[in-house]
Amino acid sequence: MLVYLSRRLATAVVAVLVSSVLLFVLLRLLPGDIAQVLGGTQATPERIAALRAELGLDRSAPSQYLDWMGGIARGDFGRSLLNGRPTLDELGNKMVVTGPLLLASSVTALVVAVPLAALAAERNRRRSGTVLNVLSQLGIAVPTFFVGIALIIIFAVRLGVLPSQGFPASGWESPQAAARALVLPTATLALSQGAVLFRFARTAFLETLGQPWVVAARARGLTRRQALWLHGARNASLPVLSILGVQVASLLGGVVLIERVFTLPGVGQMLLKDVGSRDLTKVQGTVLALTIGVILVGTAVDVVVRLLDPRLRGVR
Amino acid sequence: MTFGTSRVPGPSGARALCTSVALVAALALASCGGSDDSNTVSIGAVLEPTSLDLVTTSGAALDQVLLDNVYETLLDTDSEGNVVAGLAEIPTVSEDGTTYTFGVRDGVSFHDGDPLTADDIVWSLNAFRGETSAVAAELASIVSVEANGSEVVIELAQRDNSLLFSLTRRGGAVLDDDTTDMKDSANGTGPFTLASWNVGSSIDLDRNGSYWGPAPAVDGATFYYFTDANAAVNALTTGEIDVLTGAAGDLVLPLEDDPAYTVTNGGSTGEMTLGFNNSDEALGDVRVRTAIRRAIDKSAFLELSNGFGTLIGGPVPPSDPWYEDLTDIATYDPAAARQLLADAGYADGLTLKLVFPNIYSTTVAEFIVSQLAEVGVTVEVETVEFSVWLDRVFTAADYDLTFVIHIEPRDIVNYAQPGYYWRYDSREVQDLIATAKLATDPAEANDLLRRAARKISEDSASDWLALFADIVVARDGVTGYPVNDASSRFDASRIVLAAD
Repeated sequence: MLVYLSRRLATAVVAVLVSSVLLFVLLRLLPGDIAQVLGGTQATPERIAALRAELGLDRSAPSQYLDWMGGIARGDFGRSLLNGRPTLDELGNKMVVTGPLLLASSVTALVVAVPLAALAAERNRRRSGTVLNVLSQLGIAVPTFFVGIALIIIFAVRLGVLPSQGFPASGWESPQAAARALVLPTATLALSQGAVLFRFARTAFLETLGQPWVVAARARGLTRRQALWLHGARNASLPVLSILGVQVASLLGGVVLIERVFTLPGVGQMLLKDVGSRDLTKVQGTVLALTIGVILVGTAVDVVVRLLDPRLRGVR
Repeated sequence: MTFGTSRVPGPSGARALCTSVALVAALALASCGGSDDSNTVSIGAVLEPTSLDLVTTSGAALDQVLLDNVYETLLDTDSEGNVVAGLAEIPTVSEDGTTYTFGVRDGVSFHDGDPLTADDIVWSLNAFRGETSAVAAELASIVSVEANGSEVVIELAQRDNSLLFSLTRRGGAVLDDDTTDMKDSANGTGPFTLASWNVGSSIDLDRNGSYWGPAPAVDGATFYYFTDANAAVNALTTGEIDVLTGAAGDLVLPLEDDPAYTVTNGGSTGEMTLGFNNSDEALGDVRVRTAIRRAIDKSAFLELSNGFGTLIGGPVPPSDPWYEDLTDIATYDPAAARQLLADAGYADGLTLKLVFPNIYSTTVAEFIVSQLAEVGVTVEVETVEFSVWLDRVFTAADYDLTFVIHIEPRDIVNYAQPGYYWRYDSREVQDLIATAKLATDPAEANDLLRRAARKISEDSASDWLALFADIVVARDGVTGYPVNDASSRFDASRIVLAAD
């Protein structure tokens, strides 16, 4: 286990390093820079040059990269070049909106998709099972932003029961309004996430249904459903857990789109705005922090799955 | 048939659900019981500043929230536009117009308690004329600033008629001379102190209890920033904000007839400019530029925003002393436009690239495309981020047509810079504007600028679709808010909220 763990952690570190290089290079391929943004439409070339020097943008790219990595090694994710605030603090502030959204949509997806997957597995090749199956395909195929817009049209425009966009200006000081603002975004994210989860969980349940211990349970007089829940669920939870770990990354991508569609002041909107003003030190710090988070979750899930599943213990 | 419910959902799901419920509840509770904000005015705005550094950060967003509220300027303007004393007295100017001497207002102190001295003013003026300053160009004629006892003496290289006006704006803002970093803080002398900045959503100001002038009637002011025009109007109608600045003309129409709201079509200095690249092969020809102007129906353009806005016909807004109605130059006439294009050798049509910043409504781009199509000009639109626009259009002039609302006041001077992104190079205009700056008589200066504006319009250096309407909407019971240029400067100190 120790060998496995150290190997897994080494892989994680390499993954972080590779993504940091990619991130650094890609961001610098963008046209325009922060000195121009600060200068605006009244700037002279001399002023832009002076601003670049003041912001340290005139240093060579490798030295900027090394400075950045040196900071990361000390746990310093940099500051915004515009307002000087530590990147991690700002990320934390925006998580007040994005965090509950991520958590609520994951929980909703899990709570809805897993029981439905069990039902679909139980009713495999029956009409209701097939209907669920087709619906989940649809959930995967339709783009997230399209679902968001459709939900806005139905629940905000037609029925008028939920706000179409925005987040209360006072934030969580008005908890009810804040929670209501998150309902449609949560549903949108949960739908696409849940559809994927459903596919994997259904396959996992179907597999356990064919196992000898389920057959044995049936022989002891349990119904198909009881056998599935009592003996199948724990086994099916392993692949579901794995896929949840993988989904964290795509979920973060979805959040950027969803916050845009619903104009929520969260991490996604912050990133879009920072890219727009070319606050690159902050963007690279934010994205790297999120990347590290995703890699850590993935690693943790792998380790947990390995601990839970005795069959994997001997494998390197 | 029933489920074995005790086992649904799986154990991990249940735990996660509890965690999330607990988290949401904790968040809600932690932020409950905030202060009673009944006498704080909530102001909606469109553009949030990117940084609070008044020296380096250009743009009206910063002036809107900080000038007059947190920072004050050396000089001020009264309601008729005359320059009056601010933190400094009206300067005495030497015969040759190159030495300005003025005293400093007594009994003023900064928010941190430091008293205002002549040294602070010297320090501030030097900061604002430094090379990284956003307003260095406005103060370029200054060669030295010195304190002489309690007075400040400014020496100029030559006479500068626009200096007093510049000192009523950001260039005249007064900072404490021990300021080191003001990206995320502010230490001014104004009626409000900066309380907090929630980046991405709002800036809170508190009443300055030891303000030297009349105390504001409100306890504080909060600027809320909306990236979406609909969300901004919604916030007004749901009572989240009291006043909305920069409201979208097409959205406020229903509020105009509603007695619960007051809609003001405020004046502005924002020329909605269709920029021509004068160094282009086709657009270098004045006939082609004039043809484009004559092909665009400006009255129809105004209807896009429900008539909010003003037709100008040149680079000068009516609020400037050298304004003159130029709307009779290059009037709408598609037939004449076609003829001009044919004369210039484009009878078979012309294709131009419109690089359009995505901060503006794309209906503007669509309108230009459809109008120019009628005279045989094909416009290919490329929508870009503003930062890309700054790089490609503003810096490199890699474009044919572009669109920007030039909100800076008295920005006719840009037409005297051949390197400005329009690449408009007219010796005559450059001379007129340079001479105006040196003129001894203000009337003479105004006349020279008037002639420059006419020449710029006759040359069709750009097209001016309209003057942008800075629309302010306030709910019933709010008085004392500014209505002119409210997106560029918003003094909240005279606002009164009627008791509910």
